[in-house]
Amino acid sequence: MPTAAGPGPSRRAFLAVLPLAGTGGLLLAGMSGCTTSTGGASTSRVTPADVTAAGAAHTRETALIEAYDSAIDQHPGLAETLRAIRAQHAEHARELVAQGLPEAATATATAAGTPATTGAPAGAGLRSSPAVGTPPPAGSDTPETRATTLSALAELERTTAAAHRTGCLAAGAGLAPLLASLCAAESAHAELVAALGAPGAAG
Amino acid sequence: MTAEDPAVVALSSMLAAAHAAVYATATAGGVLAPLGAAAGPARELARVAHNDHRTLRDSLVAALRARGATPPAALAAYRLPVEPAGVAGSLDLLARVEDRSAVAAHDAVGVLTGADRELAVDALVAMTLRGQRARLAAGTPPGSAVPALPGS
Repeated sequence: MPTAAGPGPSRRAFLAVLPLAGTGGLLLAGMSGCTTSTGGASTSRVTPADVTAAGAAHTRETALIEAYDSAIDQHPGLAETLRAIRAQHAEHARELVAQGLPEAATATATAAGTPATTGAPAGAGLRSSPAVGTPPPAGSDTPETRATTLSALAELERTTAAAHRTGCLAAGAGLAPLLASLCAAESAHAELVAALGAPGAAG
Repeated sequence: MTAEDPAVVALSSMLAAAHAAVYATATAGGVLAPLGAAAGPARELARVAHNDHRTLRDSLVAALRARGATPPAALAAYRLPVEPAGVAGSLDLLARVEDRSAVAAHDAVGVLTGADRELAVDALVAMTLRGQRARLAAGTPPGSAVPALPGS
């Protein structure tokens, strides 16, 4: 199927065979072969509708990247974990670009701290506007602001996961598995970040 | 089998992984059972994973029957990717079980539509969360506890 283009088949067959013993292994290996080799839609993998959906998903990833950049700046003690998650979002953005997005729409996908080029108000709800002239207590690194930041990141991950899921259910066969993967990753990030911000969690 | 319906193949692949996961999580639970209070959190992860994969298995059997297909049966035993020795080995096994199941779910998403695709997406999310919990319990740093692209 078109979903398994790229490095898939050999690895998938390998993974499928391993957990099975005896004839069952042969059976599953056979099925896996079918799954990965029936790529009938060898024309374009991604429809125009999917390019649009991938663009929307890319905008969501960019908003997450910006939110993590802001959080990393504000909370050096959390930087190690937050940078690792941010790197995954950058990878998500690259994967979406690989779905056939026009370069212009994605130029800043992996650049650190650059605003989105798209017009959508991505992540607007998360970033607090810096108040001019007053020392912003919200910008300091205290246990309270840390908890607030992590809670906001967790919420953004959750809403992003939900949007990826909705996008996945509407997407064509070429894009749907990627959006499913992103939905799963963001769900895990949400749980992870929320746990980091929970009372008693080690910073 | 006649001309194979790709959806049946995808659901069957997920079901085969679910059968293996039910076996593996039961094995991990058996290893953890006599290990005392220190193994409590890992035991709970194994118990939840076992129940979840059983539930998924039943949903997949129902989805296949709804298509008039014969669901593949479980094997008597499965070769495990790692022998679960102690808490660490059991957590390692629990994490790997989710990784493998996730590959089947991820691939199925592109083949399935409608409610069947929802089943696969939600299964992939659940597998990813359980895999992350097992890795965190094993002491994996938070930033490495989940793959960037689960199932791919």
